[in-house]
Amino acid sequence: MALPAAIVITLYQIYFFYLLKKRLSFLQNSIVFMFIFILLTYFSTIINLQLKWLDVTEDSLLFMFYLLNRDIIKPLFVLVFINVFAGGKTFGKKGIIFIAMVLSMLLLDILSQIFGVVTYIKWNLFYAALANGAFLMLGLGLAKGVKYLKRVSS
Amino acid sequence: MVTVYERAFDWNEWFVIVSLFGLIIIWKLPKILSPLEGTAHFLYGMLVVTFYDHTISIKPWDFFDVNDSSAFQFMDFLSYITYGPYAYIFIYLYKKLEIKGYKNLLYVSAWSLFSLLMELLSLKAGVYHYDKGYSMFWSFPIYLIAQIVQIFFYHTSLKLEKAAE
Repeated sequence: MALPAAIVITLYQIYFFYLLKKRLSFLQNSIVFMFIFILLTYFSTIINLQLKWLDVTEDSLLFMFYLLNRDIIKPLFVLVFINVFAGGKTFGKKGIIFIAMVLSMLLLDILSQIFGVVTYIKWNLFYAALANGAFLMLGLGLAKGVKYLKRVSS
Repeated sequence: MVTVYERAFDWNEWFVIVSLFGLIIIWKLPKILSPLEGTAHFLYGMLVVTFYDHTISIKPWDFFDVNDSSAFQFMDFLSYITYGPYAYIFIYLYKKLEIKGYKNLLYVSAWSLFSLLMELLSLKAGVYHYDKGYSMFWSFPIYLIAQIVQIFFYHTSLKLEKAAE
């Protein structure tokens, strides 16, 4: 059930992002996506293989869940966040968007645990929430960076 | 368990450091790509190698290792950066040479062969260790896919950026 669930979440998220009114251009969104993708991959490898704070499944099918989560779902969450966040008019609305995104990403972490995709050793959901929040904030920083690149490009 | 191949600062480290000169090359090249395009294609090169290395060189598949040990090291990260200039120069020459139509086939084939040659050199230098069963025959289709996708990405970005203006 884990893999079909991950595929469904991925498809809905891609479709949602496709329909979303985007504040950044295709290239700007691509740069943010690729940057987050790369950093998230290093981060996942470091906490898994180097620090051994969590253990990733050795089951090939379950590993696909891990890959979809690491490489598509979470980077897309950051993209959705920066595009929706830019539309938030008040500080309160922006705060709600941020918390909703952290919780949505955390739900994926909880599902990863429930399905046995990852086993926490020295890691917990609080750290996961902090990491998710950090990636969202990094996304905001990158959004500013690509806006600057756009100004330089034109 | 971490497999250690060697601990000395030798050929594999020098190979990575020399490859980093690619960064100087792209700095010196005439700017025919916009900063947005250049950044995107540079990151694309890093993304492709990061994805493959951190997917098929870790368990459950674990087909090969990078640099001195099976652990993730700083030198591994530097070796991933060296793929950025390749992807940048790939699309730079694609634009400069105005590759169109069937020339695309020739272009991606030539680049895939060149990439294979560079991989062979990095294998000899000890950047990669294929003792766990990986075969270089798999790399050719991987390069083809990566480069064809990059060309699609280039054309899509041109079309969508133009439409957005």
